[in-house]
Order: sequence, then C-alpha cells, then structure tokens
Amino acid sequence: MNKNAFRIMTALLAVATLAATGCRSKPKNNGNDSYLEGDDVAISDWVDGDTGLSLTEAPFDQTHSRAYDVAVDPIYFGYDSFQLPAEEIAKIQQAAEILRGNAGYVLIIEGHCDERGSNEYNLSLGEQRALAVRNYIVSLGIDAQRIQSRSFGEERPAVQGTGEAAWRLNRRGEFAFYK
Amino acid sequence: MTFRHSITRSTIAALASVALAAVTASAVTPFVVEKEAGSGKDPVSLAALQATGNLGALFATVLKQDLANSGWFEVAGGRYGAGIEVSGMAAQQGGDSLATRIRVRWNGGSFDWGDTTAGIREARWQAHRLSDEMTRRIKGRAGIAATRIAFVEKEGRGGRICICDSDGYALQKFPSEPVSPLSPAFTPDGSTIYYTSFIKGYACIYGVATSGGRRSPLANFTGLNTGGAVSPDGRLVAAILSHPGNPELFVINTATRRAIRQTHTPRGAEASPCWSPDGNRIAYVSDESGTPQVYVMDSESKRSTRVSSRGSQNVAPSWGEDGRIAYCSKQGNYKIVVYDPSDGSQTIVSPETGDWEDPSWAPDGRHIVASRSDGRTFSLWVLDTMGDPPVKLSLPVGDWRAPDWSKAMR
Repeated sequence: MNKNAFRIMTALLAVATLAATGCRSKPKNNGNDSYLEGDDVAISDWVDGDTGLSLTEAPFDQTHSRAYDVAVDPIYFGYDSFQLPAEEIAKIQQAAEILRGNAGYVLIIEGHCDERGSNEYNLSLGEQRALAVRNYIVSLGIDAQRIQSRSFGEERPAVQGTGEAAWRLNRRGEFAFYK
Repeated sequence: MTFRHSITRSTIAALASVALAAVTASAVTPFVVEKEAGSGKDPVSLAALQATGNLGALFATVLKQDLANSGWFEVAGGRYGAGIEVSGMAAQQGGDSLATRIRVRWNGGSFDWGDTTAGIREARWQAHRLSDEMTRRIKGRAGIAATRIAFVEKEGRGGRICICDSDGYALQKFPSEPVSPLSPAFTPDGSTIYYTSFIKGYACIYGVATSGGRRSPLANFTGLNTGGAVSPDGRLVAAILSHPGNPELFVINTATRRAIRQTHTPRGAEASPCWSPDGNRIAYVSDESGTPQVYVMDSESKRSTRVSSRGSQNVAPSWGEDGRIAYCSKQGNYKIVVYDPSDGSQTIVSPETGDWEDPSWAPDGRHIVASRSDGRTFSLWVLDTMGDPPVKLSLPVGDWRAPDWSKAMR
C-alpha cells in the first residue's frame, strides 16, 4: 500500500474513533468536577474578606425604615459606562456627608440602565454603576457596611420612551437612605 | 489505474463506511439522505392514515404541523408513493380518548408506533411524540415537537414567567410580579425553571416547579444574583453573583449549596452564562475589554477565549447541541449571530428588519427561538439556521421576551 493510502487510512481511522467517542454525543452525565475546584463558599455562611459584607446580612429595606428627611438627586452615567462623570461627583460627596452626619443612617444605591442591550447584561452594568458609587463613598472614609448596592438593570426606567432624551435619564444611580 | 490502486480505493471505501457507521451508531437506523441539507424536504404522505373523530382529526392536523415545523419534512397532499408513508389509524374512542396504531415506512426502514391517551392536550402530545420519533429515526436528529418554551410576559412595569408548548398551545402563566422577572431557564429534565425575581426588592435567583407551586431561593446574596443556567447533567447552576464586590461568574453546586467562583475581573462584569452540550465549557458575556463580548471558558484550565468579533455589543449567548453558539450582536440593529467553532464562521440568522434578542437553541441544534421587537413590544419567533423563513410563535397578543427552549419532554 502506498504512503498516501496509508495516510488516508490513518486519517479515516482517526475520524472513526473521534466520531465514536465524542462528536455530537449526548451531554455527559459523568459529573464534570473541574468547576468545583476554586475558591468556594457555602451559600449559607459566606463572608467577603474584602468588603466585610456577610451573606446573612439582610437588605436594609427589610431591617430599616426609609429615611425621607434626607435626599440626593440621582447621578447620571454615560452610555454603556459605569465611570463616574466629574460633574456627578458632588452629589456622591453629598451622600457621604449625609452618612457622616447621621450615625444610624444606611444607604442603598440602585443602579439602572437604559433599555438598550440585553436585560441580563444591563443587570450587571447597573450593579457596576451602584458599586462604583459605593466604592467612591467608601474611599471618602464611610464604613462599607453602611452601604448596599442593588441593580434593576433596565426594568425600572425613570422615563418611558425611546431615544436619548429618555435614555440619559434612565442611566442612573439612585440614593435611598434608611434609618 | 493499477490493480494496486483499486485495492487501496476499496479499502478506503470500507474504512469510510466504518467511519460512517461509527457516526450513525447512536442513531436508530441509517439516514435517508434524499437531499442535501437545506435544499429540500423529505415528502411525507398521511393519506393512508385513517383519522376518526375530533381527536383523530386533531392528531392528524397537529402531526402535519409538527412535521412541517421540524424543517425536515413536507406533507404531500394525499399522494401514495411519497418518500415516507404514515399509515394506520388514529381513532377517538369513548368520550375523550385517542387510540393510535401507526406504521411509518420509508426507503431506509420502518417502525410501528401506538398509544392511548385521554384529553385534548394528550392527543396533541401524541402527535408531538410521533413527529419527534420520525425525526429521530429517519433524520437521526432530535425532534422539537415534544418540547416546551419558557419566557417572560411583560405587563406594564411588572411581568410574569410563562410556559407554552413548542407550538404555542397550552399557555401557562405563573403569578404576576410587580417588577418583571427575567431569564427563565429549564432544568434538563424540564421539571424546574430557574429565573431571576425582584420579589424581595433586589435580584435573586429562584427555582419553581414547572407544574406550579412555591418558588424557593437558589441564590439571594446581597447585591446581584442572576443569570441562572443549569448544566447538562442537572447538577450545577452557573450564575452571576456580585457579592465579591463586582458581578462575577460562579458555579453553584445545588447538592452541597456551595458557590464556586470562576472569574476574577474586578474591572469588568460578567453576565449571561450558558453551558456547552458536554458541560465542559461555559460561554458568557464580559465587558472586561470595555464593551460586552462573548467568551468561552474551559472548566479545567479556567482560561477564556473571546468568541465575538464584530458588533459594539455581543450578549446573550446560547449553546446548541451541535456545538454552535448563537448570540445577540448590535450591528446597527440587534441581530442573532451563529458562531461555528468548527470553521470560525459567524453567520447572521435573523432577518434584516427588527431588533432580535435573547436567542435560545431548540434541542435539534437547528432552530432558534428569539424575541423580536418592533420598537414597542416583543414577540417570539422561531428562526431556522438552514434557511426556512422565521415562524412567529402562535401566542395571544402581548409582550413576550427572554425565551428558553426545553429539551424533549415526556
């Protein structure tokens, strides 16, 4: 048998083997345990080493009452961004001052997005916006445990409608104080 | 040609048939490859099927529709000698019972099929199961008729999880929630749906039985809990959790109730995980590069490779049974793109007009259900990656989004 035929036969045997073992096979029920290697935390008792937030910590809107005696206007973000615009920083400083001056007060920052993009990605982006504000307040010396973040993605627009006039009012972080 | 050369050719032919047999060993009988994929459909005749009573007629109607929806067949009107013949009887008996005794014959084989059921819905599902059996035996592919689709109905500012049969029938609605829930995902056995709910005031992942009943929380850490996607073996749920201080990809082991972190991207957020058919890789969205793109992470090496190239936003991946990944890509409007890892190709499968989002593969690895917006409300459509025109899912008027296509159901 000549060399080319031998190569073709080997290739065909390889294809046959591959076909028999793997291509288009049903999902394996072999239990892929590679995902289980890594930093793992029990859902019931996790504590974050960096932020100190514990899993058992309840959301502030369940443990506190809404404080309507203080307020800060929403801050607004650029498209697809969680960078804090320079002109919005003053509001964040104002929020930090409220917490500094009212010992028992806590804060939930809500991140929101405009309607463009997938709902799931917008949940993550909204969370990044809330966390960016939170991190800035913490950098001003406020205890991280007094601030929680949450995201509604595009699910709770401030303004209904399509177009930049509505979108820019929906790309926001909102301050909700509790006491 | 020399004598030596022709021995080699017949040896190669023999090996080719060994290879083909290995590929088709998992199918029940050999393919009927009457036409090249995409260039035509196998004709089916139901002329010899005796359907009696309302349920018999319903069975025949639904069977005809299912065979067409599969994409592989076209039912020829009353013509004997068509490539595939369905014969026998589908008879209504008593009040609401349907008895079937059917033979399916084609040039590659035959099989007998029969059942007795009670009720209209069960009569429809007899047809669904037979259509899928024909798809499996004749085309060697999974069928899509005996399946269900979960999705979200938006109602003003709120919404609810819904399920329907793959033909839009038997619409089932879960309780309304004041902020619309997101992203329902079936478990592989179809018994449970995981989804994101704001019922506690922030995004948490819940599980609820598809038969209805109480939801129970899977992940309700402070911060964000979303994107629940069940692994093919049903043991693990991929999810996006932000309790490390940033939305990251986790895998939750539902048996031990531990969440294992998969990504470390403090400057980027992850979203929308989905599993490869063999459970060894996860596709997901990350904006670590500055814009949201689709990546694939290998479970062993934990290394990620970027999959999407064009488009300013690439989101919402879904991984099909044959290994292709569908996702939503903003290229002007929002389009559904299919990435084929075997040749690296990226193919747009949605029509030119409208915004198309949230693709989910059917278990045949050929069809995709997605939502389409006309600017105000969304509707659900089935797209075909082999060129058949899109088919709107037959649902009442409403705003329907975020579809997830189940695997085959009993």
